[in-house]
Amino acid sequence: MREPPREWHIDEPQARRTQPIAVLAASAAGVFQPIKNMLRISCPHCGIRDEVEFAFGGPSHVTRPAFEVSDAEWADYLFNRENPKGIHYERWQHAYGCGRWFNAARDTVTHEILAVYRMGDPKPVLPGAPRGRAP
Amino acid sequence: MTKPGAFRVDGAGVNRNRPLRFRFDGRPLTGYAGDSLASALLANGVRTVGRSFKFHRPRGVYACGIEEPNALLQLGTGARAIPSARATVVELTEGLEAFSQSGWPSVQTDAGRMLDFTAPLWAAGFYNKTFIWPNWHTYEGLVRRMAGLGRAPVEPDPDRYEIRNLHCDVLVIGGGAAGLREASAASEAGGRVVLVEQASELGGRSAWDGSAIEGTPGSKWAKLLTERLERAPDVRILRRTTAVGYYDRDVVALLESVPVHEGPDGSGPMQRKRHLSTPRERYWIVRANRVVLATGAIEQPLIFCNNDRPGIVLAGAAHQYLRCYAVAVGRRVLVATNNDSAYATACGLKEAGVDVLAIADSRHEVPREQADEMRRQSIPVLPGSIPVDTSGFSALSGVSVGRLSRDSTSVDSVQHFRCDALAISGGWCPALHLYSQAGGKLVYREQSRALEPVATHPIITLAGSVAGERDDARTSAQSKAPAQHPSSAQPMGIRISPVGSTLRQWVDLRHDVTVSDLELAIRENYASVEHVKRYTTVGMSVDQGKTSNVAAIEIIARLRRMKPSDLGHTTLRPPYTPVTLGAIVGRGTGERFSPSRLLPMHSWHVAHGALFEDYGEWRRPVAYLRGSESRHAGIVREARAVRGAAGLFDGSPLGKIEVHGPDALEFLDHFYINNLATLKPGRARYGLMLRESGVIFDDGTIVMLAPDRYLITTTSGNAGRVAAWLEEWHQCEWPQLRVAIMPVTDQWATVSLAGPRAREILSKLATDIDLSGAAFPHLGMREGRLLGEPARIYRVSFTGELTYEINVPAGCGQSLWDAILDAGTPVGLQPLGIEALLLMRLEKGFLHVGSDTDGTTVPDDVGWGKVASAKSADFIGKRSLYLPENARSDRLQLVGLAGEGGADIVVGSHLRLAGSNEVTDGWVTSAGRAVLSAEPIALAVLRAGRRQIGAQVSVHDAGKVTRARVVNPPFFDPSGDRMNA
Repeated sequence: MREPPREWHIDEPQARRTQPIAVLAASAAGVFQPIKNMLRISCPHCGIRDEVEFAFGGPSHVTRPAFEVSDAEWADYLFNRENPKGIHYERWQHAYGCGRWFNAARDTVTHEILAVYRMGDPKPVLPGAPRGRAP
Repeated sequence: MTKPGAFRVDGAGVNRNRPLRFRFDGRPLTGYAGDSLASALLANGVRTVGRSFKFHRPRGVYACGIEEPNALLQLGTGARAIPSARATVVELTEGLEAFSQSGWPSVQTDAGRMLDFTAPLWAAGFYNKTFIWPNWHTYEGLVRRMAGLGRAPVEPDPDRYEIRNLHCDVLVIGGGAAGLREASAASEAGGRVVLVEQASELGGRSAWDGSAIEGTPGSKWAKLLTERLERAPDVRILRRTTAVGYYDRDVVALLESVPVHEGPDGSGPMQRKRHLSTPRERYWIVRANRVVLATGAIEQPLIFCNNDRPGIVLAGAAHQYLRCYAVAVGRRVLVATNNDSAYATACGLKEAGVDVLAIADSRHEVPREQADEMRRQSIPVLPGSIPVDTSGFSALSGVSVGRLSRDSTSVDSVQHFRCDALAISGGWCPALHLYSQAGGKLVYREQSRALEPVATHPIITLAGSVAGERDDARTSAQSKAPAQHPSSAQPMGIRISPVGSTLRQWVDLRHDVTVSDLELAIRENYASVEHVKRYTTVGMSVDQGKTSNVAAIEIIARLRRMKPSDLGHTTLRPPYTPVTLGAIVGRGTGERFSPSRLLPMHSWHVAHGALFEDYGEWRRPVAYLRGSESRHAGIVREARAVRGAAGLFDGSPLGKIEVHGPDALEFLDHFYINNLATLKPGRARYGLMLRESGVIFDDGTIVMLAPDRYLITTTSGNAGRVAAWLEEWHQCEWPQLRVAIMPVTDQWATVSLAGPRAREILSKLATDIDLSGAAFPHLGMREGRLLGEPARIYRVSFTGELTYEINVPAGCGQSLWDAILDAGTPVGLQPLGIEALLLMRLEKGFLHVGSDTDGTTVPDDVGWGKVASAKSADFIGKRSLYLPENARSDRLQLVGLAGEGGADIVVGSHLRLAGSNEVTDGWVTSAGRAVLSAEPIALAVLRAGRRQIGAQVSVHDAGKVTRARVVNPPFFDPSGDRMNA
């Protein structure tokens, strides 16, 4: 890889997080607690913002095939997507904020955002992701 | 006719010093300040206020709140008319005009009533089974008129609506005793509290039912707490506000009805006068950390034969009309109940001097406390009794009460009462709609004969009667009857009469659904409560089954021989009460529907007669019309000026994106079908951009400003989308490429000077740029100074003429525009609008993405296939071009058409080739008349069009057929000498 010139800053985070950034909110008392009560999204770059600031970008972790693949493989990449009931890994853009794309793991049953993580990070492991409301 | 105000009794609640005149179906009536429309109608003895949906039976006021199924009235006339207003929640105002919504010739004497005598024909599913030939629309108009749905105004809504967001710690929904207590506690704990009450005053039932709370009369207690909350910091009280929906992730929507201005003494609403800035309604979107539902309970009816006559009212409503409005629902009243709550109604009516004939209780054992109280009041109690039938033609005149057998499955004897009102109570069902919308689960409980919550919710707390809890702090003082609760210790009596024709037992008054309809649905094998609901429409009307859902569950369960708790219930969907569309839209109407973008030279265009139209977000001049010139004549004049001398065009919306960085060229090369590797500094190249599917997304030029600085232009409409597209691919697919993407459309004014005399005109302006054709050829770019300001000038042409596309900082646009006009006007320069420009590009056969392309067009379809296949590097969409569909030889291809016979060619006309068997062989995508010769010309997509050059096609436009010859564009200056000059 070429050495970037000095004036070109590449946002390669010094310590790339391997753990997903938990969806956190600061309460009035300054105590951090999970956001559970509303569709707000934690931008990994800006923090908690209202959902209306974001644009949805479809499933994440879709690999763009090389030119040489078969017609069927290319068509699969173009048209077929997972539609799970449960955890969906997807891309969002903080369109009316920093403009940055990032990944989120969302429960398609409850719309709860279980994790947000940077573009390029691997899928986080989410043990026992909740389904529906706790009784 | 009844004497005005004949049903008004002594008591508080209305301001008798402030009479208000109003009209019902044109008849002048009088009520008092403090009345609701329903209470004022009842006070005047108006019994029939509407006609039922199917059978046109007369219907009267039935409830006292939002659950009202019958008294839906049309309010006002003209643009401010409101259809289907629930009279029970409309505050009476001076001059109010209300109309019944069905009935011909009038609601009192309705010829449609004959339908009632053929009722057996009109069972559930009747429409689906009958109105099928030739189709439903044949009957729709008549059926809708007969149903009496109210009339929406056709004029634009003159009122304003507001949408507001609200964040708080605790949202308390319901301002009754429980809500007041919860709001006070939350406020004392230091949180931001919002308290919502649908009525105009807080306190709910406790303010009028005579009970005592914490040793204080309820009304006084409510007043004290209200005053305390009003003084507390961080407490917002929203009156006349209904929580209408509980949405995903705990967003709650509220609808606030903003009252018209109060009188100077606060004595009541004045004439409908509204300051311009005051909205009629506010739609609040609330996000709270905790939601308290103190929404109370809704009284359920008893069900028996002819249980729908005017004069039959819910017992709680009868009590409320008495206490809150000093209105008696009748002179001779019979009370029927299956629980304790109606005893208070009986006492109240008796104390107000109304003749209470008896109280029929479907329980075989009446609690001693109630029995004793009735004895003191001299009201006969009929234990183990339920109404089985009623009589009367237009209003109630008598009730038959059946003495139930020991097991309540039959009737042993029947007793008749002559009365003008029947107050019924089938128990109370908690108003759990919001809880259910939030994902909470409900179950039917035998004990309370109601739906109750089964689980806790992380955000929601239930308080008061909605929780089914008995409030020990609250005891009755005045009437000595206990406060009403959905679940009291004693089991409820039966709710549905075991005898009588089910054809005449109404479950859903609004939609005219009877027990027999439910029976039919079960006979026809509908099993799920959701399916029965849809087949019979029970609970589907504007009241959403607030007084019918629970009874329907009981009946369906009985018919299916199962327990109601096993049947489940229908989904309770938002909105809880009907919401005005205007409130959802808010202020985003008319000019505010979407923001307009204005050109840097907008005010000049306005001052010089520009005819404006919207092109995407932009307001752009179509043409600058002179005197009485027509639109078409203006466009042609401007185009001829360009062809003959020169024209000046404000092209500022042209999308401009700068891409900087060491990897900028490699990055951009991923997006264009054109090879960019050979681009030189100071040169521009036309390029096509594809979606990954191979479909053309956008076109424009790529200009190399320097080896690490590029400027790309996009179509005006796609400027934002292309910038977002580049960002998405950069961040998600090629983050290692060192580039920065900067949309700069608004930073630059773009002025296009085109025409054979363009160079001559521009040379008169002070500049350090050599404009000669040799030094600055077509597709060149020069940076320098023009009139002392920094400028970028491109030689790109959309008109086919010698063109300088001059970009200066947006703030310098006007002075440049003026200077060029000053220099050029003497030699024939004219400003031109966008239509002349588009006409000239049609002549040149240049592609207009979005007009000549659609969601299927790939590069080869528009003649760019060779360029795409010649590029060896991968680019977005390349692989898709090799899919079989995109390589077919019979695809639609862009060609030119030369009209024959002189008739206009119309965009959208379909083309047929001689001998074709296809329905269509293509269509016209752009059309006009050549600027100088006025010959009709067009661009079109035609099946395998490039093989048809020279062929004749028929052009079909809405029945008119003309002919055209297929040609190769361009239609003008094919050599390009003028453009390259």
